[in-house]
Amino acid sequence: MLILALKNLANNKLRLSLTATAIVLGVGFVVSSLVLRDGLKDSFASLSEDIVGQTDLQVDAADETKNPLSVADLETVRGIDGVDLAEGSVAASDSSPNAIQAIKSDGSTIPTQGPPQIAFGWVDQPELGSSRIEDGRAPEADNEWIVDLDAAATHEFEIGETYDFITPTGRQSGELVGTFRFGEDNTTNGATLYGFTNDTMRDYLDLDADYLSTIQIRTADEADVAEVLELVSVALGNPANASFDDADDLDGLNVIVQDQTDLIAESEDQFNVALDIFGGILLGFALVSLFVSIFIIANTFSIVTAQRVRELGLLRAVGATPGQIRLSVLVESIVIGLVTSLIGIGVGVLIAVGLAAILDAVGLSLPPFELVVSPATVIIALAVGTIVTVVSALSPAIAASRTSPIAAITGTSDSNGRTIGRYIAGAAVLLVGFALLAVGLFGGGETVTAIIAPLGAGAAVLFIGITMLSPLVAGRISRVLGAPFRPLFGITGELSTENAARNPRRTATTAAALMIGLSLVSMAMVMGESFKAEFNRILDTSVQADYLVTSQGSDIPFEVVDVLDDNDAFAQVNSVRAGTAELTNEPVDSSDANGDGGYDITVSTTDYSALDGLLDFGVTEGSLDEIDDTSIALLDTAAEDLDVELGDTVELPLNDDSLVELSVAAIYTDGQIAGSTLISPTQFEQATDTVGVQLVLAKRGEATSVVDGDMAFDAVGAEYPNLTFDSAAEFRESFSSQIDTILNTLTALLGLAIFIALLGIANTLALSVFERTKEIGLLRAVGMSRRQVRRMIRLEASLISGLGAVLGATIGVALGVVAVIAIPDSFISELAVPWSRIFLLVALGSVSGLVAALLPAFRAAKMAVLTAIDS
Amino acid sequence: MSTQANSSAIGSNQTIGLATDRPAAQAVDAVKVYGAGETEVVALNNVNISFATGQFTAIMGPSGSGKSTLMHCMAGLDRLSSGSSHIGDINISELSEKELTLLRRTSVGFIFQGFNLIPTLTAIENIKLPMQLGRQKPNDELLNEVIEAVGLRDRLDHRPTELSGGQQQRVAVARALASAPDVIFADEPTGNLDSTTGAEILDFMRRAVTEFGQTIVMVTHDPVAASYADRVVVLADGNIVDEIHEPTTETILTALSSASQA
Repeated sequence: MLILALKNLANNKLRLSLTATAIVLGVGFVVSSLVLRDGLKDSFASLSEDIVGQTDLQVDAADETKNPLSVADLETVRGIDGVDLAEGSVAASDSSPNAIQAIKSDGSTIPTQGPPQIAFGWVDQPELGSSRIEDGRAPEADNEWIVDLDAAATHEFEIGETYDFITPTGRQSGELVGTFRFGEDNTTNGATLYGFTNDTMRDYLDLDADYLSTIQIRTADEADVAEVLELVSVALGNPANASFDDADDLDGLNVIVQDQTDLIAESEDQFNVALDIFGGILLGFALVSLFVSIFIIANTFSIVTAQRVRELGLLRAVGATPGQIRLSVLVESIVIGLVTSLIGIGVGVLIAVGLAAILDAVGLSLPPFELVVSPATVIIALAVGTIVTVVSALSPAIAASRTSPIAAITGTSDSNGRTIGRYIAGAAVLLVGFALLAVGLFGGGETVTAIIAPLGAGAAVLFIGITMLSPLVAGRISRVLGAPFRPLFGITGELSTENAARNPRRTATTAAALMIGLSLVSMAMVMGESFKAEFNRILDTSVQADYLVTSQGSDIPFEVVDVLDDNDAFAQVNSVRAGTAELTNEPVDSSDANGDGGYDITVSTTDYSALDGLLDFGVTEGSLDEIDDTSIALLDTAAEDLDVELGDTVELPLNDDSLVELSVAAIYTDGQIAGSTLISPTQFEQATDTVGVQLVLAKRGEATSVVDGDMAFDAVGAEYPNLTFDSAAEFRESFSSQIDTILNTLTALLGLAIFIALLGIANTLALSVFERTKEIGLLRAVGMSRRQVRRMIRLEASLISGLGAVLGATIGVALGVVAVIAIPDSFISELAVPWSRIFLLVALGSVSGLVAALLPAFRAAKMAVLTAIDS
Repeated sequence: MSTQANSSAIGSNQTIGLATDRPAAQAVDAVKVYGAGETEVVALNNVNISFATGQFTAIMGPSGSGKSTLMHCMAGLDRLSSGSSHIGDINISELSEKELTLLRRTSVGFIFQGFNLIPTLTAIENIKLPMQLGRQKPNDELLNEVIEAVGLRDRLDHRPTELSGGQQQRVAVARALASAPDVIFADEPTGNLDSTTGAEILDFMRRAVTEFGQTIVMVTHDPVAASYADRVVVLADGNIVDEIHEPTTETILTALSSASQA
């Protein structure tokens, strides 16, 4: 039987290639996500090594804000036995509020959404760091600066020219005196690195004259690094034998001292967290593709088995046992699975390159990386591909083994006996799917995994159930969709409709693959549209300002508020500051994430006397006018979570670890701008690390025309190229386009699943055409032209894809609506369905079948009439 | 060659019976060669034959005699290696694939042995299929007559799977008749039917010729079936070896046995 299985494969190259393509692509996507993740990890690992350079030990403050390092600490370190060399540096990255950004000669800044921009105090000590001056010289005087050589080339920074900087202390100006190389190959992964003197850094960041961010140490050759580490640790005020392993438990420590290994590991860990999320998202989409592939493979196997019924019957007649038949089909699937998975690995590498290009095209550039195919990837690919193929072949194999010997003569197998049973099973599967979805949505899962896992599994089970049940409606829907074909295309249209309807199970399974892809897209569309509607509602009800200033990275400096306020064009200017604090209350509430009785919460503040015409938080009880240093306003849901009412007291921890009691002076309902709490500006300063402002709002003066107001606003905006200055309309537009970008990325990632689905349609049609050879021959004999044959196949394809699109959009909209309802109202309370986009999706989905039909239609039309009849 | 009194000269353009002067179909110097070199098989060896309008002709001969090839080439399903074949006034050897398709739709009817009907279409839809492919309105009068004649009026909305084998073949005959083609080619139309049902179909084809003036060319190896024809042409090794007019089962059997001995 083994030989038979292998011979079968060799003799059915078309069938093999059709089945294979679906597996190759599914496996390929999985491989590509692993290859991308591993490649990026490698790339960041070498970056981590470059960051650490030749530093043997590094000292950081245990609590940067309360107890930073100082020049005195550096002197202490230099006096320790075994320390050969020690330097201190001041650093800032654009992800922190105190960013420093250069303004290019064209007046723009480097976008903050891309790779980071890091400014640091240049230590001109080749034996410590990993950077070397490339051209020019190191910065020596105030405001002099250098930049890494790739950033200099990309952003056209010229040595000798003077450039402006945006800093937390306002605009600064400095001459570029040199470029430097970071590590051997300047592998910055696209980041921009600025080097200043430490004094310049302190000046820009408004820091004390002896402030240091880190101290880097090279130990003497003969010294024991561990011993020096302990000496440094104790000398800087730590207790003896302090442990730095747990970054969350640094109580009682003054500084953190790490050796080279720890530093590299810590750096890699930081990158890996992000890369695992990135890789996980890709893998999620890859699994969708793989899931879709299963339908295609299973469908192909079952059609092929049905077509081989005479052959299988003959095998049974000459003495093959059902077990042997089953085995032969399974062996066939194992061989296909292994071979195609191997090809899938190669294709996966290509997809990885393509994915990087797609992400680049939608504005999510990846840093440069090498294509890494790890042994784990190979094993995963082979296992996944083979298991998926064998699982797909299981049911067809069992069906094949039930072939009766008489089939050798009659050529038919009665496999429709258990139809009712299948529908009952389908309904049961569907219910399980609903149950899993309900667990995910309403089960109160506390981690992302606990919510996502049942949702993902529920969706998968739901799709299987729907696919099992959809033959019930596939015929009817095909006939409804095909109704216009008869008047449009005459008998050709009718034949195509009947062909799509004649085998509902086949049509339904084929359409299922497309249904899955499109339902996910339309679900995302509903959620995206609802987000937009929610956002617009907030703007309509809460934000009445004419102009808004926002920032993608750093905080907005206070001076922006002042500049706008001083401008006569604006009647009212206000700002919102936001930060995080841990609010506590006697009864420990349920949403306590870290288990220590606290409640991590967004706290905000604003000028409560200047809210008119700018902001409305929807206060339902009390008044915001009464917010002072002893009171607080709570979002209604936060009040509920904390179980407090107007007049009750909550405790807010301050930066100096003391607690302040605040009485609830107001309850409000719109938390989208302010978050969960509003406190006084003074208390805000003491409770958070926030340096600047997150949102600035301005109202045009009554005497100012729209044009004049816009001009005045834009003129201020021109001074701050790193900030976003939007009119209310532009603000809406930019949010809307951000959502669209996410949707487009999502659709692109689901594109492969949709492509596999189209391949499945082509596959089914090719097999159907083969099956209907005689019929097509007869049609040709009685006068159907080749053109009509092609049209008949194409129309049938569009009905299959139309069925998939209609079912997919219906399910997707339903899932999207349920998701929006399930998400708490404080995130999203509006429900909006983008009907026109959904209809467009259905139309495009239906038309996509035409593309899938190209090859089968061509083959069908090419058939010689005579051989078709005689076959 | 021929031992029969009523057998005539081989090949030729002669017209017989009810026919007019214009042949419904005709093959001139028809040669069909399959393969090349050592595997070359000559299926038709310079055949000349003409089928008169309103005549029922049976083509007979042993397996591999070229009878099916002759029919396929004359019906425009296959092309001759050399020579020409004609339907009415049209030399179909010169037609493009597209023109051939249109010719089959309007001027030729087919009845095959086993697979004759599109399973997704009802009986009436199958009957109208050639006309509908051309988006032509059927001739309702003729259609009615044909349906009446095949006696399937109460089965018109049934699918082929709901019809017996004989009923299916009757639908096939009706389809061939309904577009009033120049000639109907039938390939073993009774091959899959029991003798009673087969006789019914043959009776019906006979009536089509007699009552409607239809031209039918039928390939068969069944002497009983052939005896319904006006004329029997016997092929052997790609040549026409005998021809019988007003045949009977006996005369056919005699001709066949002499052909196989030839």
